[in-house]
Order: sequence, then C-alpha cells, then structure tokens
Amino acid sequence: MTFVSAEKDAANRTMTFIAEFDAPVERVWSVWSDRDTLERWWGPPEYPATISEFDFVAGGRMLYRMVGDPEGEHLDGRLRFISIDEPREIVYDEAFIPAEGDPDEQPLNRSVVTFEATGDVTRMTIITTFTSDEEFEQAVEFGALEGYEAGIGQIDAILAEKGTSA
Amino acid sequence: MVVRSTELSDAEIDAVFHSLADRTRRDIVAQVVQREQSVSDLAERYAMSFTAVQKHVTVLERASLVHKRRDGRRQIVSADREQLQRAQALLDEYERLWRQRTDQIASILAETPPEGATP
Repeated sequence: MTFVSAEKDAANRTMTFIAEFDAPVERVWSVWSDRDTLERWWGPPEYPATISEFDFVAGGRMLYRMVGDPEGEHLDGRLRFISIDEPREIVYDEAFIPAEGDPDEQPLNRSVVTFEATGDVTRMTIITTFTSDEEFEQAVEFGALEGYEAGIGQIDAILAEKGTSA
Repeated sequence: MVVRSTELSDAEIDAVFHSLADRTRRDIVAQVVQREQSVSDLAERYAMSFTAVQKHVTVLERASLVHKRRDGRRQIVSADREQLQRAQALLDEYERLWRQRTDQIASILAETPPEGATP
C-alpha cells in the first residue's frame, strides 16, 4: 500500500500525512521538482491543475489553477517555496486567491515535506499547519469547493501492474 | 515582478507556527474540551507560573480555539467546539486531497520502471 497514515490534530490545525513509494528518493523528488510532472498529480482527477508559474527555488513562487469538471468551477492557488533541500526537504506556504484577491496575500498554511529513503522505498511525510483565523475561513470555503471521491482503490491496481522485482 | 507580501512578515508567520507547536497549549485545549476550567485550575497542572499559563490561553484565544469569560475573580476558559469541528472538517478535506495526490504520484512512478528492472 502506498498510503501509510494520516494524523489530524484539530486543536493545532495540523495534518501529518505519510506515504511510501516503491521508488528511489531521486525519482520521488523529481515528481516535485519537474513542473510537467507536478502538474499531473497536483490537482485531484476532477480538479486538474494547470501551473502558470513555477520557480522551484527558495523564495520562488508557483501559481496554479484547478478547474472543476463539469461545471468549470475554478480555484487559483499560490505556493511560496520557503526552503528547498534536495533531496531531503521542501518547505512551502500556500494561499488561495479569490477572484478579486491580491495574489500576494497572507499564507493559508505551511507545509513541510520530507523524504526518507530505505533502499528502493521512499517515505514522504507532509506536515501541514493552517495559520490564523482569516486564512482558516478561506480554507473552509476551499473545502466546500471540493467534494470529490477518494480513489484509494487505484493504489492496488498500480502496485499489481508494477510487479515486484524478484 | 514578484513582490514579497507585506501583510505578514516572516517573523510573524514563524511566531504563528511556533505557537501551534507548543505542548502546553495542546494540553490546555484537550483539558477544556472535556470541561471548562479556570485559568487557576489550569495553572495547577503545569510547572509554570499563572502568568505564563494566562499567556498561553491568550494565544489560543486569538486562534478562536478557546474563549475566556470572567466569573467574579476567576477567568473561565472554554473550548470553541464549532471551531474545532471546522478545523477537523478542513483537515479531513486535506487528507482526501493528499490521498488522491499520492495515488497519482504512484501512477506516475509506475510508468517508468527503475534502471536495471527486467522488461
């Protein structure tokens, strides 16, 4: 199974999400560092993302839009990369931009993504912490925009077609 | 040209995250979710001054996680359950999002077999 665990702490508005991949750490890193690859997985299937700006350096920015199917609802998001330590850690702040919003508004959450390799298995840990009240309200609105079904069943199919190396 | 946000300085952002990482504050929330308590009651639980505990409560109050009201000379702290529930709903949403992203990453990684794998 790819998915390992998700711990949520409402009092601290923090989520710790852990997943393991059957791939060396460099390959897992590349799904983050390569713009075209990142674009393929960043948005959920019903909300595919288009990345319009991608500057994968500390202080750099990523701008994206998720467009909902079939209503064409969309959500603009922004990431600010705080630090990048290849291939160990990525820290970024994230915000959503309302239609008339300022693209440089305050961050909504901070995520720390770490990668740990054990042989050919890479563990990815994401710790996301939501910030102050105002951004939190926004996030709740963002939540209302979603409403897609999680496709966990996909994982088994993927693992099955991979085949384990003898 | 990208201009850094002037709304919230890096120091302020760091302060927010630092505050959320505090064990005592986590415990205070856990306590008052069970039942409302005075700051004095809470202060007895921790090896720190009344003033220090009061400061922790103020930080939580700013995040709307607890409310404080006066009862004579006592300050009563209660949890904002609604806010906690909303936080929970948001976190659930994020877990769903990351499960989906993880699935998609796994699919991408499965496309190209690693070097040296048998065809």
